[in-house]
Amino acid sequence: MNQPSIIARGAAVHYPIVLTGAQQSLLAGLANTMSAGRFAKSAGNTEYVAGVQNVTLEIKAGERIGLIGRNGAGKSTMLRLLAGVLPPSRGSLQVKGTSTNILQLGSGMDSDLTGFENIERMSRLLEIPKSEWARVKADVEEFTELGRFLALPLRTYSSGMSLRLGFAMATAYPRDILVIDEVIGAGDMFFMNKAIERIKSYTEQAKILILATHGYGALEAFCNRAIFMEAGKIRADGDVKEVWQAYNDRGSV
Amino acid sequence: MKANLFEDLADITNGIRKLNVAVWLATEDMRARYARTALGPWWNVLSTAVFVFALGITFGALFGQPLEIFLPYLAASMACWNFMNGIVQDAPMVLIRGNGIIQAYPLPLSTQIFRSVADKSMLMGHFLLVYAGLAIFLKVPVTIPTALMFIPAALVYIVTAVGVSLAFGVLGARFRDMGPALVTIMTMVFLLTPVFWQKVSLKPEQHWITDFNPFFHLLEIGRQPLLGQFAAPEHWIASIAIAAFSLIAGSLVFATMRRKIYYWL
Repeated sequence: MNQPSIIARGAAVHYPIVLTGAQQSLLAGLANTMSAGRFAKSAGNTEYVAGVQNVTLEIKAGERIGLIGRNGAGKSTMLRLLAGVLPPSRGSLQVKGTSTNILQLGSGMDSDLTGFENIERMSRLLEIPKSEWARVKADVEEFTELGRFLALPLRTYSSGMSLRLGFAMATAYPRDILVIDEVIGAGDMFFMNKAIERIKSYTEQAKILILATHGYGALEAFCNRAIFMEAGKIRADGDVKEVWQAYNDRGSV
Repeated sequence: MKANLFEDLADITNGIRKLNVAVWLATEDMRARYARTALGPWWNVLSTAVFVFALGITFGALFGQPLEIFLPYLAASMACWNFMNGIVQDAPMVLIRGNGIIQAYPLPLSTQIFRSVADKSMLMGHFLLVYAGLAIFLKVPVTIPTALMFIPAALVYIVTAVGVSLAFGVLGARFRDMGPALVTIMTMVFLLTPVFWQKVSLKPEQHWITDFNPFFHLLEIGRQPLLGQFAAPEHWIASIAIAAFSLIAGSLVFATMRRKIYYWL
């Protein structure tokens, strides 16, 4: 009955640029207030960069969304929103269901800990029930094929290796929503094939997948809906082929 | 707007529901901080013990107090003071330090707050174990009823600490002056609060120095039980009021700023 879903209404993310001393310091802020703006005049006007603007969309269970767009189009910010690790600064966003994500290489992992220790750490932070830990560990061990590297600290890993570990962990225990950024591109072809298989079986259980990508291959393999973003806004949303076409048309202008 | 505030407050209740994650993170912090040291968290206890001993001998002589009275007083004071001081000084860094986890896992922000409070509580636990040894050795007249009063005191401490960490955690993320400013202030508070001296040393007309000091009341309800005394009711009333105020104000500051915190980290 309780199907996972994501509903956004006019959601926006505006990153404040907190850089200059006057905006950043409490004393300057106080001085500005007490001197009625004569001192540290710029303290009041923080500048913003709009990461995502006015997004209204609905994602239902079973939808596998491919997010496309040029660099800086707001894809990553959108993914952070949908992954529930960043609340919108304006508008509303309702995420129903549990989620995991792979947003940055090695994020959520501790480079001083060994692979095995990181597996336990992530099991805790992802709130995987204790009864599942042994199964998750065995599964990750098998999928990553890291072998004895799992007994070494993470800082000895290549980026492909830490991607394998992060990906395996994020998909080891079924969650309702899986959010993946382009980092997945760091994997080799061998890994990609395995990842495709894994995501397919993972999303068969009527879960939501959101994937940012630059390639039509991944889009076609994984997704049944595409969203094309430009300058923080959704330009096209719907059928994978049509949206890809719209994206390409845009690029060639 | 009101519905929103409610949603933001839910972050705190979610943090309480996921307390096991916060406590585990705190034990990991402890482990990481003292990795490859022989004494681990006992280093903290040892450095306080050395401080207590050195100060005990000099001030005991200066104030003309017998060591078997002054040492436990100082040790009990420092056990409580270390907790309060640790909470206040660390609060501005709590959210900043947790950024890696905040960005990667859909956990409540308040998990980072509870993580810090759990960390300081565990340190205090270590210290109390050593204090118990000292109390037995010096025959401090602790009785079961007085010792039991430490439990509500610890509760008041934890509630206050959560409120303080919520408020200063948020403000510290936004205003990076907050951290060094609080370190500076706490040095002054340490000297102004009867941690190593006693209120009776003040003249009656100077009592305002302690009476308006929230740290003094909190200190009293924690250390008196450790010394085998009951803290005066006025300290309890003041402390409970401080805890309630701290929790409410901290929650409100946290909830109203919650959505912005992510951009300040």
